[in-house]
Amino acid sequence: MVEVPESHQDLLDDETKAFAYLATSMPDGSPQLTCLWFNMDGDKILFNTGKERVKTRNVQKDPRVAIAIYDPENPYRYLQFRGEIETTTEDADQHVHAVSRKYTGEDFEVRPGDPRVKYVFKPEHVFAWG
Amino acid sequence: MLDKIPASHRDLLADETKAFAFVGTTMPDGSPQVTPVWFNTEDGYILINSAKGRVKDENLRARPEIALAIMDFKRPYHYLQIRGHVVAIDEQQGAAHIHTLSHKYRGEDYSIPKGQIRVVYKIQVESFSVM
Repeated sequence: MVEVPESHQDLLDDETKAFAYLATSMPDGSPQLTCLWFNMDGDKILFNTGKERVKTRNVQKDPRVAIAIYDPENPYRYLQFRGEIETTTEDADQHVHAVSRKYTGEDFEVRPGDPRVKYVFKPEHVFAWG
Repeated sequence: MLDKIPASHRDLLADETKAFAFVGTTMPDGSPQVTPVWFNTEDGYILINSAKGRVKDENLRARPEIALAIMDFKRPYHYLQIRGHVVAIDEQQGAAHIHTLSHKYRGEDYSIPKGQIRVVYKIQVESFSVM
């Protein structure tokens, strides 16, 4: 498991409320990029989104992703990760509330007919910038 | 296509906003790569700048497909998600362009390391969505 440099570990703390940009590959190989909330489970980065999303279909077909997590106070300072995502519905409905509470202090308002999925990301490479 | 961006999100393209762009490119093995960059717009295209030989430079020369997320870090929930491709790669204008970007973001010229070749990538927007 890769080590996140101590200088940038704060970016992963809940208190920082940093955002993550997640790059996935479309079926034709072109890149797709979205912004997501995340939280941590040990050294794994967890995301939560809808099952019926382009990014979900993309990572289920090709689990390789790139992630940038930047300092909300200074976008020149960020962590860059490469690795793979595993998707699971196990606990996804509870997990979305945990992530929502990190950013808003409140539970998430799940839309009916929009089942949740949890992404578990294990970094294979990490670089710190700024 | 850039002219179709709704009024609600045009601020992200304006120089005054100093919005950042996160850029996704594709590695030789087909996996994605993401980095933040400065950008500006000209004649309906998005222009970004990098240095010759960097990962994103090599990726874009080999595979012109690109994804961008343009965000105002002071308003992180307000952003533009773009997919498109690079239509021109220009080394001759690279140095002048990085100075232009440096003036947008920092109000001063960029300090180009000796021997570094700057490159401008002109991006045509094919699709976008707003948050």
